[in-house]
Amino acid sequence: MEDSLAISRLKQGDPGGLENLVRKYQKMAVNSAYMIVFEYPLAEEIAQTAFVRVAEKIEQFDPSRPFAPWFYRIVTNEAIRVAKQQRRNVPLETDPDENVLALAKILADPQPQPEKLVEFREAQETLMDAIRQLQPEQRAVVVMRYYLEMSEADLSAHLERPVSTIKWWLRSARERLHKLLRASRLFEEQE
Amino acid sequence: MEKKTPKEIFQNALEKELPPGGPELWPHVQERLVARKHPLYQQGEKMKPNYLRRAAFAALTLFLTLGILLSTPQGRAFAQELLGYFFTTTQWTYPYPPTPNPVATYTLDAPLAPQAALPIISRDCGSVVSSVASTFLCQLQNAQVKLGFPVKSLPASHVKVPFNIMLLDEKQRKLTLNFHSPQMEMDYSLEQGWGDFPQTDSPGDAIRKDAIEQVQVNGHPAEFARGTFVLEENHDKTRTWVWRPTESVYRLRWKEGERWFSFVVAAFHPAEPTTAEMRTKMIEIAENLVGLEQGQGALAAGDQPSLQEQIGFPIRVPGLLPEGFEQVPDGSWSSMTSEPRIGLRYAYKVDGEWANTLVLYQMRIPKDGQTLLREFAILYQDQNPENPTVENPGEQVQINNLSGFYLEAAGHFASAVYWRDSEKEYLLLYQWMPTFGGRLDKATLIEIAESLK
Repeated sequence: MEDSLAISRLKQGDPGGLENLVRKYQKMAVNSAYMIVFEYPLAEEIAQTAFVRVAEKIEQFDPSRPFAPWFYRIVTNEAIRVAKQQRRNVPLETDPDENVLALAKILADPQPQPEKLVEFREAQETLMDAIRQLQPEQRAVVVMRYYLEMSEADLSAHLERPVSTIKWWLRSARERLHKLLRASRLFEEQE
Repeated sequence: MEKKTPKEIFQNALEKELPPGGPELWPHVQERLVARKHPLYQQGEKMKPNYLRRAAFAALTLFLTLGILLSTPQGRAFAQELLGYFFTTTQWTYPYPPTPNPVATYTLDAPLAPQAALPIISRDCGSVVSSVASTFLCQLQNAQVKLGFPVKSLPASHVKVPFNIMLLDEKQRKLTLNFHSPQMEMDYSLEQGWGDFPQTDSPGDAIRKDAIEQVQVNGHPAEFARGTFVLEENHDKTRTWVWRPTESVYRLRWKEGERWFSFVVAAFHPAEPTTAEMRTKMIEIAENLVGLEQGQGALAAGDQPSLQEQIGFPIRVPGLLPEGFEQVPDGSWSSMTSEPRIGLRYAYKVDGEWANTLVLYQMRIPKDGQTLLREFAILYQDQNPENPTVENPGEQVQINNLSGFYLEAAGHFASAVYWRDSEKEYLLLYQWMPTFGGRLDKATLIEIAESLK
């Protein structure tokens, strides 16, 4: 079922509309939340909460716009909120200035999607370990950009930040990941 | 050299860390919306049958937890391992054995025999202790005498919910105490016994190994786990036990000398605490369990009157019951009726396992339409289009000149007689195991219904 039809049914009070959205988006929602909180039960709860919010806020949704970015914003916002409550997930390196500075370089990167050139082998575990060490907001930005493949414009709209800020955040996140992943060469040097 | 996009790398990394199969969130989302009284599910009127089946299953799960319906032979092949205190498994799912083929049926040779009235309410406990007519305190004192060791209960200082049901197993020397809030937001079950933790027959009582955390209770080694195996219906109508790490079922087990304790909390409140908060809370409760010697005031629900006193109307009991049917506590709970109700449960066992049960439900006639008849119809109507509905309940019958219905849930091993008098409605529910052929017929059920006193 098309998202627009499911949303229309939901707006008319038909739970089947929501059920369709849940079945279509649940896996990506849980996976995205997981990469922000790194606890599977919590990630499922976050995704459930996001779908409940969809039911509660569907009247506010602009049907002329795509559903996915709107929904993923709910997921990531909830995941960030939960992640901040997870003491044990607070990264050991908690100097926000350093993180922000590190983020700064990556988003200024003028090259389109240089991250496509990455080496797969040996990278997976290192990638997750690296993401674990980011701040929750940084994890969210990385997840939205690289896993959910949201455009910078979407990120800008949904994080309510100017594109320049998004670029700055992403750049910093990539730089930080780059440092963490240097050994695995996951993100090849492009700068 | 293999090249992948970041998304593909993320996906592969996730597949290594996450359980296979993907999430199944829809039932949980439905539950949350119902709990929030979201317009999609206002008053339960628009609930889909699947949710209601789940609600019904929640009640059944309680029975399973409490051991009333345990010992179904189907569960025996369940592979398990006692590691520490929990029975553990490394599997995510277990197939649920197909429903056994019903055996040939015959009329149960159980002539109707006169039954005693409910014992008179007595605050000093009296000689007969009853799950309906005795206070919680009297039932607890009686259990302690029969078990032969000092029993513990939940502390009033930490638990504010009413006592629901007590199950005493003298043979296995174990006791289960169940407390829950009226709308089932919180459900506490404390099981205790002497010797080893009892075996389980059901994946519903097992824990995935990776869910277990080592903790301590009063300096004793203990184990804590969140999650539970849940029976879920597949597209082809078969059922599977599926491990659900996010189910709000929390368990704590520990031993103190020869005594073992198993404490289970189920939270259904939308603003439920986090796992860490629940772990802390349960350990606190476990470390502050109280005994009868600490006085009535120290016990949660220590001053709770008997069900007979609480219900607010005179409880009627069957004047006749088939021989071999014995009263057992009724721990059922339902969200589908709004009036206070009571269930009197009678079990017929064969080789120690239940083969037939009769439950007499009674409550004041509700003004909101949430009747016992509606509940029966909702629970079974999606199973078979010919099963009773509120509009077409079934065959009309007379119960002492009052009009009622004989209801049959085809293929689901249940039938019932429903009727009303001027103030109350009654549902005499009859359930049987398909592997046992003995049956009570419609005429016998009507005779039991007509014998109420």
